[in-house]
Parts: sequence; structure tokens; C-alpha cells
Amino acid sequence: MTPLVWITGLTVAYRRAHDDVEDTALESVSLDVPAGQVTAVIGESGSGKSTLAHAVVRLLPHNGHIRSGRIELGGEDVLLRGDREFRALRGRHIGFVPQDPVASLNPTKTVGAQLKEAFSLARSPLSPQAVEERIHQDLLDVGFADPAALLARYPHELSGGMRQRVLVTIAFSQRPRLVIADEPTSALDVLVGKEVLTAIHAARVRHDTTVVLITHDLAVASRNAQHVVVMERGVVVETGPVEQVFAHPEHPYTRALLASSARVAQGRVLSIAEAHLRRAVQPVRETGQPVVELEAVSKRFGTARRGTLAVDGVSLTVPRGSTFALVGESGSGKTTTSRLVLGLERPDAGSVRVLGRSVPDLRRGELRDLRRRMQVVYQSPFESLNPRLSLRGIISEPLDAYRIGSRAERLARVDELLDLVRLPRSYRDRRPTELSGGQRQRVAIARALALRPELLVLDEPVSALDATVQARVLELLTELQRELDLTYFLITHDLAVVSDVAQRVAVMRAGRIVEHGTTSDVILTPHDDYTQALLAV
Amino acid sequence: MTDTITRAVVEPAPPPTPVRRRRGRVRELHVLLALVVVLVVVAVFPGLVTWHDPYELDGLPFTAPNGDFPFGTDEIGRDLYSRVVHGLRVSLFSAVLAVVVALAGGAVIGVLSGLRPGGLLDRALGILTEAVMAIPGVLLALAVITTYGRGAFVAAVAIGIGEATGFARLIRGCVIQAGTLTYVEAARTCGAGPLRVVFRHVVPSIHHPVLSYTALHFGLAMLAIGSLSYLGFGEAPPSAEWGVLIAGGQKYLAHAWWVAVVPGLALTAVVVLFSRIAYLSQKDNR
Amino acid sequence: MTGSPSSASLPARLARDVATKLAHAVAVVFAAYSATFFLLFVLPGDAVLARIGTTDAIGSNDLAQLDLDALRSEVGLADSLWSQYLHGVTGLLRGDLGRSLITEQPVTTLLGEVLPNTVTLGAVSLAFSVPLGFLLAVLAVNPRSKAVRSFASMVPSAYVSLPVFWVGILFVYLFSITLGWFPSSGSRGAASLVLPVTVLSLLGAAQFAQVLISSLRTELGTTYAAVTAPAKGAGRFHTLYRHCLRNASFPFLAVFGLRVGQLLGGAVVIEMVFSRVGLGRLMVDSVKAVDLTVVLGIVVVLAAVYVAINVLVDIGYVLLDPRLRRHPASATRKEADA
Repeated sequence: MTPLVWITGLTVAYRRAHDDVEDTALESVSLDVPAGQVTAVIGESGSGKSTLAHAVVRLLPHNGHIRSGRIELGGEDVLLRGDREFRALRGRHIGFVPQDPVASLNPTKTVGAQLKEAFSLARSPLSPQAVEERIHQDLLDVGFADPAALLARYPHELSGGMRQRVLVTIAFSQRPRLVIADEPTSALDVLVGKEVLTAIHAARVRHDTTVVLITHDLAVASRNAQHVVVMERGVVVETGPVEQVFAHPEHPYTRALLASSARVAQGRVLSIAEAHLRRAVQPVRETGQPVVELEAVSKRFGTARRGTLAVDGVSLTVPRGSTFALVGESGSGKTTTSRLVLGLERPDAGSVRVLGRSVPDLRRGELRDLRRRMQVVYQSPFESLNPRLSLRGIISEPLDAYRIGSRAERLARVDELLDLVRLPRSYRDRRPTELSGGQRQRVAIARALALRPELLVLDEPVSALDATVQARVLELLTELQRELDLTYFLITHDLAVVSDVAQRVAVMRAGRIVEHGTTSDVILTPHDDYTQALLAV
Repeated sequence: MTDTITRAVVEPAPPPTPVRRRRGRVRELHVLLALVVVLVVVAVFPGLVTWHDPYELDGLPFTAPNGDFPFGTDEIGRDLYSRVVHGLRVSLFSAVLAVVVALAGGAVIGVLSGLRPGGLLDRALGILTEAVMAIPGVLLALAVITTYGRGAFVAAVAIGIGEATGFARLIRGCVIQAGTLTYVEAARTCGAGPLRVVFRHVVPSIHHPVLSYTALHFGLAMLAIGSLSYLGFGEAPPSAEWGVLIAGGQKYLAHAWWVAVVPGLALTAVVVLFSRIAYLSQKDNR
Repeated sequence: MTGSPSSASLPARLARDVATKLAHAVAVVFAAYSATFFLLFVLPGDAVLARIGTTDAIGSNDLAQLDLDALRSEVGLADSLWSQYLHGVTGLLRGDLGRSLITEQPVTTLLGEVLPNTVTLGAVSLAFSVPLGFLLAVLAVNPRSKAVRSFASMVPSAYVSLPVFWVGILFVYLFSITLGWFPSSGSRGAASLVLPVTVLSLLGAAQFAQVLISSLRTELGTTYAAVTAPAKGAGRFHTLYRHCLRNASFPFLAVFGLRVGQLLGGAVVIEMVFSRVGLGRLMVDSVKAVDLTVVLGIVVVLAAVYVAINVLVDIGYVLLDPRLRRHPASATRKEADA
């Protein structure tokens, strides 16, 4: 098994603008990519895995440069090539699948034009007729039913998954020896991501291509790759066959990474159901009256004729003291449902009752009173905290808004809340930009808890965080729920998260609830096809 | 619990913001702002840096620039250097007036229409703004001057009205965008009232682009006021306003180029100064 | 990805868009007329007094002895404001802008005499400034040499900081007084156009280049230009010309309409510098003579030109940009989930 790509001592640095300081992104990275197989490069954000991918195709941002090392492709040190000679390799010998399918296609050119361009740029010897035939066949191979209609379309007329499959087609179109896929599914819903991975797999097998798959998702790596490279902060910490690394991780970081995912055990990735069974079942303490009751709620955006039904006859009940998870992919209406609960949107039909009050009927002042008892934690802690305020200003915002206590009392409460979310009190004068993502999300949780609410709406609270950080934030949320007797209304796309924390779950698709019940019932014995598909990922 | 604290702290903090990169820009910005302060002082006390009276015939007509008359003299022997320095006051302060009018008008219209985009008020104000935009600034100012008579300050107010439309558009857009920021919505769900949201979250988040735009349009207002004076609708001679100086010097270009060229250079220099400030303060916002 | 049943065909949608835009345009011109009318005829002054004030003909002592009412009725300002306004609006609908208060000639005739000159100046300048603006913008982003790029991106912002009338004066000094190549004034013949067109088209080019540079930089930074195209083997040149230039033109187009108005304002001033017969001279003379109807007429005509250009730009936008031409096939409103 000879390596196709052989990287030795690769060091990449980013130069800061207007400054001579350089930040090293890759520190003497050495690895080899076996020919004809899939090598997954895994790591969390900031590990340098994307930099590695871009360095191999020499598409680093303009301030990044390769300081030293060798990159051998089929025995040739490609770093010795000048820019112009290197360009001849791209497309023809190295294909690239970028991360964000939305921004990666030219919005004003048809799909057909962008596919054909790959042939003309690579000076393909094929006749125009042959090019068209090959494009047609390639598109069929990645799962497009009607390639002819697709060619005349513009990117904005396609879904994210379709765009990514077009990009896969482009990457494989010149039959390169190597294709690098940089987080090809991270911007997509799980089911769609699965289709894209299937398309890559099909193309790879058919054309016997070597693939480097950059991913942060351990499940994706273990399902699709034979080899794995684990990176942490610009350094390769471990390499080897997937089964071996997952079963017997040697480096502490690899171990921590694997431990953070409840779904990895004995060197293989468990299904969500298997992982669920391994966890201690949490007791459901449903007491008193329900905190949230939705009854046949509908919400339409736009006009009656052209608009879309974002929420379509949704009924659900959230018992006090438990965690209720609403699961769905993007566009399923789950976020709209949470906004209806919060009183940020008005339902067109049905009743929304929160803590015994009918939300749409509340006057402004009454809604404000109700909001003291229900608070939100948003998805991205990078956007939900005002970067100009100190943590003290952020956490005491609700206290200030409701004029609770004296200045000194508010200050004391801020310290108390920092303790509660396990952040040092000394952080109170820091600004959000000085914190990591997980720490910021703790701040957001502290702010939400300031008013001692009964209900917390958690809108994808961990999906913007790295896996190891996710686990800790979820742990914190579970502890807080026990300590403070909170009710959680959790919005998420990730059934694995649900299995960790929720007692009840409802699966939403296209505005409707397709399945609901206790977490164990839904995860272990799903009835709906869609739920089954989600669980099979 | 101590255990969790240590674990939380172990999470890698993001790399510190590149402070040093910003430092160079900030230093340049500070130098330029200091220059503006010097200009204001000179505009208020022009006697500090001049030694001839701007209205006295101290020299021979059309003396070329020399040690005593650094910019030469004009057609009747007045010191051009002194006239340019004294003219700064009118140019600078009428531009201040124009920008104040533009910013105040633009802020009111922009905030009112940005609060409920697509509402009736927004549409009405939109048509009004566009109607004013449809009239070239110089012509709008001339129309105002037709009713109110000539003068640098009338011209300034007129220019300000024209420029208010741009400010209104910018501020409207900023207000709408700020309304969609997650942290603004988070503040609202925390129970913060509308005033609190506007002053604590929205205004701080939009003041950078607005300040930068203000600096840019300060320079443009100076140019527009100069144009009006040049056309004969700003200050009247013997005022030393720069547009007037340029218009006066135009006739004598053939044998005394400096009379028209020097005030133009002065005007350009001040406009460049302000547009550079605008550029730097825009880039500095993150 | 189901086809949305309610999405109309392209011609039908285009027709509806055009109709909406035209209605909006008419509203804007009407608003511009009304605003200027009330500015000129109501606030707070009195055209007759203003006229006396600016013509400087009469001393303040004589003012009391003047029969202001007689003067007012003489120029048709004695009627109530509303009847004057209604009269003006109905005239406007018929294409009649009234008569000059001074010369009694119809305003349309006066405009008809000078408009061709100004339009020629504006159109020729525009024709030069667009390609020049593109050239400057490409020079500011394409060359490998950083020095060339930063110089090319500095030129436009420096030029827009120059007072346009002063540049005109310098050109006169340089090219007609010193070198004697072109006439310094007058409005007859192609030679008289050279200097004013140069000044104006440089101004236009600088303004266009500023917009284009920033939108080109944005486009070059997007993934399709920075990653996808090079990954296919495209060079910098190919990426710029085949992908970015076209996409960067859309923001440019949006600004184009706005800039045309500024260019017209510049043309008015430049006409004065080069002593050309045109809208500028007519405007300046009318303002000096407090000829309200002529001032109003000029303002309305320019507003109409501006609005018409912007309607054309909007339609061009829809025709050129496929993102606006066709809506997403899926009618589902994407939630802000991602």
C-alpha cells in the first residue's frame, strides 16, 4: 500500500496584517495518505485541519504561507512547482470539495456552465459532445434524476445538498488522483449530509480515487474512512487505521475526543439507540400542571396564497421539571415554534399557553411579566452576547431591566451566577471576545438564570460548540436543572443530544409533528419513517 | 464543583485579538484628529499664525509667493496666505452646520423608518427621501437660496438637507440590521424595554459606520459649499471663503496662477484629511 | 424542490415589477415637485422680497414705498397658495411648466434650448467614465504588484476629494492657457467639449471605481472565487474576468443611478466654469433673478431624469441578475436555523 500523498514537516503560518507577527497554524505536520483509500483528518475548531487541506491544494488565504516542509504527490515534491505549474495540478490531479455549498458556486452562472468550465480550465481533450455525455453520466452517478434540467439552473434554485453534490461532481470531473473534501457536510442537515457522503463514496469507488476527508464529526470519520489523522492545535497527535485508533487511542487528546462522544465505544460508533441504552435512564419527574401547552398551533409566513405554513397544527405539552426536546432539521418549523412560545411571533390559529397564561392574548406589560419566568439560551454564544459589554453588564442586564435589588445586590447576584455556571468570579470584568465558545455559552446561561425563571427555552444550545465542549455544557445544564428545578424546552437537530438530556421528544418535519413520546420510546421504537432515517445516521 | 471550575478554565481561550495591527491605524487616526483640533484652533484664532491683515492691501498686486507672502498676493495686493487662513473659519464652520443638519435630519428620519420597516411611515418617508435625492445637491441648495437669499450658512443648511437623505438611508439600514442581531433580541427577551435596547445595544452598534460616514460627508459638504460660493451664492466678496477666493483668482490664471490654485489646494487637503479619517475609523471598528 | 404553483412566468412578473416601479417613480417626481414648490412658494418668505433683496437694486428705505401687492399680482403670486399649487400640478400633468416670471417665455421652451447641451455633456462624460471606472477598478485588484494595486485604489478616492470646479480651472490653465490645445470656454463644436468632458468623466470614473473596487474585493473573497474556481485550475485573471467582474457589476449598477444624479449636479457647476450654455447657466441666472417657475421647472426635469434612469437601472438589474430573475424553485421559507 503505497502512499499517494506524503507530507513531511509541513509548517504553515499566517501573517497578521500590518504586522510582522506570524501565527503558526501547522507545526511540522507529517503524514501519509494511502492511495485508493479514504483518510479522515479529525480535530476540533482551531486544530489546523482546514489549513492542512488548503495547504495541499495551495489555496491558503493570502496572508497564509508554507514556511517549510515537503508535500509529495505521487513521488513529486509539489512545493517545488511555481504557482503557474502548480495550477496545472488543480482540477486535473487534485479535486477539492469546499465546506460551504452556498457560497461555493458562482450565483450568476448556470450549473451547466460551471461544470463545463472545469473541463475547459483543465484543457480536457474530450470533444464538447463527450464532455456533455460525461457530465450527464456523472450527475446521474451522484444521484440527480434529471441532469438535463439541472444544467440550466442557477445555484440559488438548488438546495444545499444539491449544490454540494454539484461541487462533488466538479471535483471528480477530471478524474483526479486525489480529492480533498473540506468538511463537506458540516453546513448541511444530517440526512442531506449523508446523501453527499454517499455521492462521494460512489464517485470514489467508481474512479478509484484517493480521498482526504476533513471532518470534526467522529461518526462521519469512522463510517467513511479507513485511516484517520487526529489533529490538535496545529499538530498531528495520532494517526493510524480507524479501527485501531478508535479502539486503542494512545494520545490523551484522542482519548478525550473519543470520550466526549457518547457514541464511540470499543473502536466503533454506536447507533443513537445503542448509545441511548448505555446511558443511565434519568427519572422523569413530572409534577403539577404543564409549563407549556400548545394546542393545534399554526403559523404562516407571507400571504395566504404565496406564503408557507411554517408551523402546521402543532400540539405539545411540556411537563414541569422535565426536558422536552423538539427535534427537526432546518426549515422544519422548530425555531418558529419556540418563538411562538416566547411570544416573539403570534400564531395564526390554535392556543399557546405558557405557565398557565395564554401568550397571544397577553398585553405588552403582561408578556414582560411572563418573560421573567421564561428565558432563552440562543444557539450561537458568539452572536447572542453584546461584544461591547463586560460579563457583569451582560449577566445583570435582566436584573437592571426589571430593577431588581440595589447595585450591590445585583453585583452579588452576578457573582453567584458566575459560580452557578462554574466560571471564576474574576471573569466578571472580561468581555465576551476574551472567552472561548463554551465559556460564552455559560455566560448566556447565567444571564438566562438571573431572574430565577421556571422555564428555559434552549435553542440549539450546543450546536455551535466543539464536541468536547458540548458534553460539558450539556452536563452543566443537567446539573442546573436538578439544582434549580428548571423546565427545559430544547430545540435541536441532533437526536444524540436529545438522548443525553431529554425525557420527552417530538420530531418535527415541514411544520408538523410526525412523532412524539418519551425519549426511550421514540429512539428505541420509532414508528415514523423520517424518525427512523434520522436515527439511522 | 471545584472540579468543574478547573475544567471550564481549561477550555482553550481564543487567540487574543490582533491588538498590534490596530495600533498603527489608531495612531494614525489620533494624529489626524490632532490635526483637526489644530485646524479648529486656527479657524477660531487665525491671528495666531498670520502676520498680515486679510483685508488690507499690504503688498503689491500679484506678488509671487515669497518669504513675507508665503502664498503671494492677490489682484489688489492682499496677503493670500492670511486670506486662506481666515477663510478656513467660514469653510469649516459652515461644513459643521451642514453636517449637523444632515445628521440630525437623517437620524430622525432613519430611526423612524427603521423601527418599522415596510410600515406606512417608512414608505412615506422613503418617497420623501427619494424625492430629495432625485434633486442634485447643488440644485437643491440653489432652490433654497432662491427663497432665503445667499450666504454661506444658508448654503450650508441647504447642503445639509440634501445630505440628510444619505444619512437617513444609512441609519435606517443600520437600525434594521441591529434589530436582527441575536444579542438585541436576547436583550428584549431579558425584559429590556425599547429605550433601553436602543441606547444600550442599538446605538453603540451603529455609531461606528455613522461616525465614519459623517467624517466623509464633512469633506463633501466643504466641497459643495465651495461650489456654491464659486457660483456666487455663498459668501460675497471680499469674504475670504475658499470658493470665493478660487472664483476671484480664475480671471488671473494666466499671469498669477497661485491666486486660484492655493485655496483649491487648501480645500483639497482638508477634504482628504476628513476622508482619510472616515476610512480609518471605518476599518477600525473591529 | 417542488415548483411553486404561484410563481408567475417571467414576462408577467417583469410587467408587474415595471408597473410598480413606474408608479413609485411617478410618486417620487410628484413628491419632488411638491416639496420644491412649497419650499419656493411658501417658506417663510416672499419671492418678491427675496427678489428685491438679491437684486440689490433698491435700498431699504425705498422698500416701504413699494406696492408689494401690485408686484405680486404682476408675477402671478397673488393667488392663494393652493390654487397656485393646483394650477402648477395640472400644468405638470399636461407637460406645461408655466412661464418665466421674468421673461414670460414658457419654461419648457427655455429648457428645450439648453437641455441638449447639458445632456450631451452628461451623456458623453458618462460614456467615458464607465469603462474608465472599470479599468481603474481592475487595476486596483488584479496586478500582482502590491504597489500598483494600492496606487490604483488610491487614485479614485483622491480625485473625489478635489473640488470639481477647481479641477476645471486647473485644466483651463494647463490645456488652454499654457498649452493652447483646447478652447477654455464656449459651447460650440466638439473641441469645446473636450475639457469639461474630461473633468466630469474623471469624476464619474473615480466614483464608479470606488464602488467597483470594494465590490470586486468582496467578490474575490467569496468561496466560489477564492476556492472553487482556483481548485478547477483557474488563474487569477480567469477568476476575475469570468466570475467576479460580472457579479461585482450588480452593486455597481445599484449605485450607478444614484451617481448619475451627482454627475448632473457636477455638470451644472462645470458648465459655469467653462462658460457653456446649458442648464447650469439657466439655473444660476434664474436663481439670481428669483425666477421661481424656471427654478421649479429645472428641478422637476432633473428629478424626472434621475428617476427615469433609476427605473431603467432597476429593470436592467432584474434582467441581468439571475438571482432576481428567477425565484428559488422551493417556496419554503428557510428558517433561521442554520
